[in-house]
Amino acid sequence: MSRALPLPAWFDERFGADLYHCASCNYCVDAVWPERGLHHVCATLEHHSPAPGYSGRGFIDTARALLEGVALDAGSVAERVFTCTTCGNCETSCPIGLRPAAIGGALREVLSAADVVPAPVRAARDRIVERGGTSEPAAGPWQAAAATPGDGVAIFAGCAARADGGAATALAGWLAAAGIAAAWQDDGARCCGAALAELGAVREAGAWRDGLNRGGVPRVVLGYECLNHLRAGGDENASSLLAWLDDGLAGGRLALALRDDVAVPRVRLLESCQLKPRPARALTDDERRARELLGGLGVIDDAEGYPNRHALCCGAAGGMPDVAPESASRMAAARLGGDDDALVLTLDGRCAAHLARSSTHEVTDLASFLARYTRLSRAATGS
Amino acid sequence: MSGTALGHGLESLTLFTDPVDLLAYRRDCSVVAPGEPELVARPRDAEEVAAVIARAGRDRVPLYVRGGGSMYAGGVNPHAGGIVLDMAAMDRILELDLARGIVVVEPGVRFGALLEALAPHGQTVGIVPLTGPTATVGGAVSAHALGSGSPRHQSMGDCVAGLEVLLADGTRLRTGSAACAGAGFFQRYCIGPDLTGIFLGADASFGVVTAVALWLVPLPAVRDTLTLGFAGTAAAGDFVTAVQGRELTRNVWYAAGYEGGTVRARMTQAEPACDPATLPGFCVCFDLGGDADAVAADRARLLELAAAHGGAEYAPFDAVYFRRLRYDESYWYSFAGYFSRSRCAILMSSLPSDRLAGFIAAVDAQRAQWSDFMWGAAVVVCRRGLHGGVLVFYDERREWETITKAVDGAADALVAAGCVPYKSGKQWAAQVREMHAYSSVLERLKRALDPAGVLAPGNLGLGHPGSGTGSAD
Repeated sequence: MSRALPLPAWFDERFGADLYHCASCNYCVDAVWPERGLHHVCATLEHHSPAPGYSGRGFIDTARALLEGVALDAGSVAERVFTCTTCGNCETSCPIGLRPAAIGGALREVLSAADVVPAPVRAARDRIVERGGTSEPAAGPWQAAAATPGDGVAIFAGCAARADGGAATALAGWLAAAGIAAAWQDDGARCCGAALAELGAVREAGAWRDGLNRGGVPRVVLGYECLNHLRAGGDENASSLLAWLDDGLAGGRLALALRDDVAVPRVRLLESCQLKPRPARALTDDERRARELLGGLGVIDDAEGYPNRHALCCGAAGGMPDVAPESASRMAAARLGGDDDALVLTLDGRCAAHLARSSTHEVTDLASFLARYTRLSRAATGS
Repeated sequence: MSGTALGHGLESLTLFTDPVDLLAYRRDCSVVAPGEPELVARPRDAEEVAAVIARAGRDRVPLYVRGGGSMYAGGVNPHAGGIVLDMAAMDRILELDLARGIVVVEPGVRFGALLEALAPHGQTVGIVPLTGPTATVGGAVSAHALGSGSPRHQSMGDCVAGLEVLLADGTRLRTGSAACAGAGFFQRYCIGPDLTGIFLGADASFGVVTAVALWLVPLPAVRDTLTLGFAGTAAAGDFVTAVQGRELTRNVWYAAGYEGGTVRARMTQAEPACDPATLPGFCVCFDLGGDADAVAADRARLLELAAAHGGAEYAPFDAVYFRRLRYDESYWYSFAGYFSRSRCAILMSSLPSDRLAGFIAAVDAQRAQWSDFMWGAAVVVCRRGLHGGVLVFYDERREWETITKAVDGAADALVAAGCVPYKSGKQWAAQVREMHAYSSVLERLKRALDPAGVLAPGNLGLGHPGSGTGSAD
């Protein structure tokens, strides 16, 4: 049944120009532009439903219709805007810089406030609130570490580390072997609110973020979703493992080399949709850092072009595994492809976990990869 | 009839009836009034298309056909309601025959995907619309696309070797050489008149295209751009006429002309210190491609010919705009975004090159009459004649009522200035109806091929009340 869903005034103020500037060109629905690395636009359209209501254009059309008072079924709207990976391809492919993904996110917020959310989203949200994170608490390196950072590194692992503490554990060992103290913050495994924000609970997500004990200490955040969320909230102290490593190597304080006792397999660096250059995301330079770091080690070829600009989601983001698990698995299979037996390396641990669950490919995250195949040390001449 | 009822019997197809999904099918990029479809069907093959056509014919329900939806003449707008056929899922390359120089594709293939498939073979196709990443081959064929390749050909239809079309009565027609069973597509003009042409630029008024055969064209070995500045439009028009008369467009993959206002806007934004008084009154820009020697020779000949018409190379505009347009931004939406107002209405016409000054004067008159809008004019050079684009930037939220009047007025003014409707769709329907003999023959063809009038009523001015063709209500 159709139900008017009034949009709050802030929606028009924030997105009105986008809604009426859209040229209906459909680049955000589907486009192929090989020179720019654009090979279709929307993982949801390809692997869940081709209905354009699920697309970036659909979000713009829907929001504009709601703004103009068109009565649309709120449940249908919710079903579509919550079945989005939030990868942002619709934004990076828009020729005139509109923000359909952000509009979709804002619609999630409006629908959440109106308590019109699909049942799987509600359940996922309730689970996060109940557990304080996306999965059950588990033991991890954060329980043993209490050292102050000193000249070491403060780390926020995020709640994703609970599900599989492998990355955090590996990282702890890697750092310890280099004699670098690691201080695991906020129990290391609390949800920073990113997972809630993704599900439309923006106010609660902000409160969780603000409730974290930052202490003004620069820190490494393992998950890019967490990092984007923290940075969007003005947390300038949050940084990535790659940024920290890049800084240490460039400053001569750290040295990194491949271990000579472990054979490094052929590696395929998978682009991450979370690292796209989008307005609210500050650490888009990590793709370059990764390519330079891994290319310098001889692990990957340093690819040219726009490797990350239009990366399709692997199905891990946006709540897709909760809302449409089968579609999320199809997305993963499509990203991995069929025959390539290279070790798949993702910069984001959440992607690695999802891809590993959805396929038989060997997949690893950056922290685990570095810990297994490289040796970090303090540079003798480092300052 | 509700969308759900319309979908009965078509359940094996992908159907959309939810109003949230139907929003995207109301219009294209034009300022032609949106429509309200009841049902969208997304066929995967010709058999599913046939099922939808049969359904539309049985219940006399209007049927509109949509490709990428990036056109700007309203041909896909379902203004009579009914069913929209979304051809995007018919995106297979059916045949690539390098020996015959033919590629046969389903209509939903996007140019970006097609070019990607052809590039490893050193091939491309004759016309690539400037909306290439999202435009479909079927849409380009049905709406007379232009763009890259227009100087060597004219428009999309000149690159079509034949079509497969489903007619309203279910007939599956193959045109050109493929009309002969077992012959396949390789030539267009074989057996009597050119039936292919009836369906080109027809916006699905006479049938639904289910396969397109395009001639392959070798990719150029080298490319280069050249921008020439002229004092005014008259000299530029004479120059272009001379270029075409000497067949100097053979190695030109794209060429366009920009009025002084556009040149001034681009240049002063890029170089605020530049003196507008020193800028050319009109620029003609070329994207050359071919063997290195041929490109160099044609470049020299173009420079020589320009000098004979008072023109000279104007590299700053090439660097600031044209080269970026061709090699980087590539698509006209960059033009729209440049002005960062609301939407951009585009009105395309055809004109002989010697009427370039008249075309610009007509746009100037509209600019003076509708001064609340920002107007732009540009032309695409064809093998013969020009495609004239009028761009009007407007605020869709506040100016919808007036923009449609302004664009309709501009259409009348362009015809009065000797221009011809291009990309007819619904945008030019009123003007097409004024071409009485032509329109009458179109109507007779329509009655013969689509007696119930279900196929895209309103396009080409057919199927409107009083036209004599079947109405679909």
